[in-house]
Amino acid sequence: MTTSPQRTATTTGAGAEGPPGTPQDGSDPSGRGLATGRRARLANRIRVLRASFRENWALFKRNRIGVVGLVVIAIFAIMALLHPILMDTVWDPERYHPVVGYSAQEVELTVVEEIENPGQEIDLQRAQLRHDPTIQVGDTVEDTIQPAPPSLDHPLGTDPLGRDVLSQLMLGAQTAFGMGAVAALTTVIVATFIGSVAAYFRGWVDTVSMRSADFFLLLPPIPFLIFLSAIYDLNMVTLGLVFGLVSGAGSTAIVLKSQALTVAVKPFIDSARVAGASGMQVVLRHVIPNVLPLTFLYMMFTVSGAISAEAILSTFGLIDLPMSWGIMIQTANDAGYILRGVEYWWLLFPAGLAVTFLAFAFYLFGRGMDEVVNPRLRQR
Amino acid sequence: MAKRLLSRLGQLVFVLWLLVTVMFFVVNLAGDPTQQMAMDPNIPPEARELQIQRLGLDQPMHIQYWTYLTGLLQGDMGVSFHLYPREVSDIIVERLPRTFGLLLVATVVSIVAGFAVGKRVAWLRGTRREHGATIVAVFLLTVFPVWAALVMIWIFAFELDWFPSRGFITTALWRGGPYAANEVFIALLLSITALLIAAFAVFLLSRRFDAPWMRTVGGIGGLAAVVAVFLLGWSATPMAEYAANIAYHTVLPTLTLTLLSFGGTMLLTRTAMMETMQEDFVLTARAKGLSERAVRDKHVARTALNPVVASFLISLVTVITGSIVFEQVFSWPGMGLTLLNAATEGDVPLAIGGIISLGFLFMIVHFLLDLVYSALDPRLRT
Amino acid sequence: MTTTATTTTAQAGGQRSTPLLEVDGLTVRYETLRGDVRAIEDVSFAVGDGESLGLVGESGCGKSSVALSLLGLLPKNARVDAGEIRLQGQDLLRLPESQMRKHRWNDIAMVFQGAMNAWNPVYTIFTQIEEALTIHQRGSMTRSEARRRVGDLFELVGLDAQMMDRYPHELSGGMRQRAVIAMALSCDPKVIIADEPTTALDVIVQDRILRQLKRIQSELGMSIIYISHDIAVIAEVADRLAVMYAGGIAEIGASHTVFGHPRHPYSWSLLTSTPSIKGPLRTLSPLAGEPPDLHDPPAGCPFHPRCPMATDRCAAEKPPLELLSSDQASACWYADQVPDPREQEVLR
Repeated sequence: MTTSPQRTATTTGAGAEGPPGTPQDGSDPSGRGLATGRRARLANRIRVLRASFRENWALFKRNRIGVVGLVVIAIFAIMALLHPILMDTVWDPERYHPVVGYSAQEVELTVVEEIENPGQEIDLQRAQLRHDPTIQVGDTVEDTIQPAPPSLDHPLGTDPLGRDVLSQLMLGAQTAFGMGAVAALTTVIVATFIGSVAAYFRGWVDTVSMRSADFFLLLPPIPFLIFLSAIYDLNMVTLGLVFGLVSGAGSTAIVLKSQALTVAVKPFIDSARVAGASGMQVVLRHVIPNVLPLTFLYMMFTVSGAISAEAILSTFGLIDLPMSWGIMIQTANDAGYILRGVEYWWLLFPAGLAVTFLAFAFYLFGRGMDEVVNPRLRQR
Repeated sequence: MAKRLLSRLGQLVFVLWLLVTVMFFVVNLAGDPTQQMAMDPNIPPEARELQIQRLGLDQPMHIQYWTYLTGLLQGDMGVSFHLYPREVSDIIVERLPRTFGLLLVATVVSIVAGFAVGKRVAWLRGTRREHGATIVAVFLLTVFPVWAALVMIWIFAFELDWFPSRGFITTALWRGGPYAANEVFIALLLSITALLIAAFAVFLLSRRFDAPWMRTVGGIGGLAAVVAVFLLGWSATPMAEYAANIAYHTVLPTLTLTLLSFGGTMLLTRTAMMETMQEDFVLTARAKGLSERAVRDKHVARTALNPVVASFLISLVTVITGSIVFEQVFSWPGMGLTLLNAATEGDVPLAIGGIISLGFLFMIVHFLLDLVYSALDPRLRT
Repeated sequence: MTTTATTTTAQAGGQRSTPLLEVDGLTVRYETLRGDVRAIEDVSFAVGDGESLGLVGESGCGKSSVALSLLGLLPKNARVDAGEIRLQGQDLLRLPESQMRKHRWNDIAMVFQGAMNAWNPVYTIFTQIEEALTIHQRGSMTRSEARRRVGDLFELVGLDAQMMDRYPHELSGGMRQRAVIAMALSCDPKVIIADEPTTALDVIVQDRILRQLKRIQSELGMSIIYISHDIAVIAEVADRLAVMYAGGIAEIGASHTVFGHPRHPYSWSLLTSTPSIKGPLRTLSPLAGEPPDLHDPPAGCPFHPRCPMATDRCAAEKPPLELLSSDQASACWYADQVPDPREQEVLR
């Protein structure tokens, strides 16, 4: 057979992608950089995303506040990731496990009337009780003390139960991120959905959503969570869910709805509808993707709040978690070390500062992004 | 405008009802709330029976709900489990005003201070001072409240020894004295409210004067006069010593709460200002020959005040949360601490009462803010 | 430094005496992220006592920037590279801010573009006008005196005195525009700048407002600078006309002269591309192309890429503003060859 329908086959045959005349090898005879075909479309989309990412990153970098936030978040993220590695390699789980580890350090202590250097002294009463009833001030004994101040073995010391504080801190980072993630995801899903649906469909859907948003606004998340903990047992996931729900259905939904409104009136929405898309489809494929950047922004504020909330609740002993930063403070508080002030600083400061800095960092990051996303705030 | 406020009131009542209903269902989903009573050795089993009857737990759901609702409206919220046999409503009446007082002072001071600082900071946009102030504000906003409270105690109570670290009153002082703590507190609260209202009234009146110099003199003079009356009045009453004692214990929690909510208001103001600065009328004001400070204060700040007040509701949430934390850390017996203890002890009626009363308080403040908001924005008055 | 030639050019079509307001060689650039924008290039014009000058051109030609420069209200990223602005001989550009503030509104006032937004929504009209009075009368005016003054002003612009206690949102667009004019007049300025005084108003109201302005001007003997993109409208109310393009003045002269027979291809295109209700029917010749990007203006005459008469010389050398007669000056190498629009083909 000498007929060679090659040319026609490639241009009009089945499996051809794009309009007739489209070269099948993805080359670009038009020279305008407009390749067609599904693979090419994806490549285009990636290119646009990368370009806009670069542009947004440049804008974001200008605002040092956001960058500081991002750096701090990265530090904590590294801590969280490092922990399992350390537990597997360098740290002996018996001594370093944040929950069940016990590290007894035998130290030489001087007997004194009143302790001024916690790591080096032991008070008279205790020394007489635990060692030799005849012991006097000025003698030395070997004893284990908990909580132990920082040392080479334990860079941040140990808590009243003998557990390594640094290890606890790093595990706490995991809890914080985990819960933050759950809360953030919930908020994003709930708020975007409610906001977009309310903005697009208007009418009674709008009224119901906004009235219920009012309700959620009126519901301070922490008191509500306190109340819930009286009845149910809260763990990390439930906490994140509830927090995300209250936050997402409340203030975030309201903000998102007004943003979605500006999208919903744009002409391309109408053309999507005319093209035959159902209401839900329009919402999913057009409204939501355009509102997502703003949601991402507010997500940051939710994470910030969730981290604080968890810490507060676990400090009060209301959460069913083995270890978190709040629990660290609670342990120290229950054992009565908190109000001794600076003497036992490693019990109070690392955990408290960690909560503060991570929540702070997320907020700063969100603030920095605000200047990128919100055109009204941009400086010339 | 009256119609608008009425509809707002109606909406808030509706939301409160929704809150109450949701509480009901949340509690019921968890099963029998009197289980805790059964386990507490101090409570006789008959009491539990009584409670079950009173709460109507042996009856079908809708009757329970009805009893619950009617009971609420009559102010009957049952008996506390762990403060047995005190009535929940009784406890609330005692504790809620204290938290309200705390909130009131903290709210007013943080709004005034946050706004004043925020407007100046926004004007310095882009400078290092502005960046620095923003970071400090964010820090105050996100700092871990427990940690912050402990630091405050450590600085002011231990190191400087200026204020006590816990409690509402110095019991030694009051024992055998003629007054109940709550009496004095209520008196103090009412007089402070009167003071704030009077100060605001003076401020509004002074603006009506014809000549500019009279306005300034009138304003400052009036304010000084009001404060003087307040202080003189108090020093004349026999309650003075006791009131001072209460105030002495309340300063530190109030101060801490104010500091933390200040950050939120400052940031809000800054954002609102930055958005308002782009408006056309700012250019007009400058063109008229107004000084930079006048443009900032009379035009931008005044207009930015509206969205700030409107969104203050959201930062009110932070204030209420903060008050709970601080009441706990400072052992200051307000509604927040009560709620927390109720939760820890599994005291369901008190927990419900706590949430509802806090929600109610919230609603009132929300409504008041609405009033202020429509007074500020003439566009809403028609 | 002004030379006699430039002064005369700047005053083309106007009075021969010492001008009230002189702009001399003003050059302003804006620093932006994408580079510098040459907003005003060597602009010179003068306005005498009681004269009115119209500054017309497309958006972005620099006319608003000129207005802002006169008031010293250029944005923070603006740099004045050269030039002087003299009010009764005193250079305003180099005054310290505290001094400039005294001149604002008192000597030069502005009627803003989009008068709707010139008002702060939370204060009454009266309060906002009184503000201006208080600043410049140094607080010696009592409230009752101020009310009387505002009442007089309102009468002048044709507004009901009751309106002064209303809030801006309670007034219609036309009323707000009049109120803005009243506010501008409040301190008896020597010069008023009317920036797009008729945008966003319907034609009937437009007509009324412009007539009012003209009447006020002759009654009070003020000078007015009109800024607009609508050359036909301005030509009717202003004594003199200055056509701006790409930051510079293309043509300046007496209104009827410039309007009747423009001597710059740009003004000519403007006139022949807008239909007139009153004149005879004629073919329209719209202007092709777009105004240049001022980040990177073309060499030579800024108009040459769009000019139907352009030659190589136009692309290479930038023509200066030259006097053609006592009534008219133009910045074009071929000014005398610009056709008379009246001789255009008339449609049947």
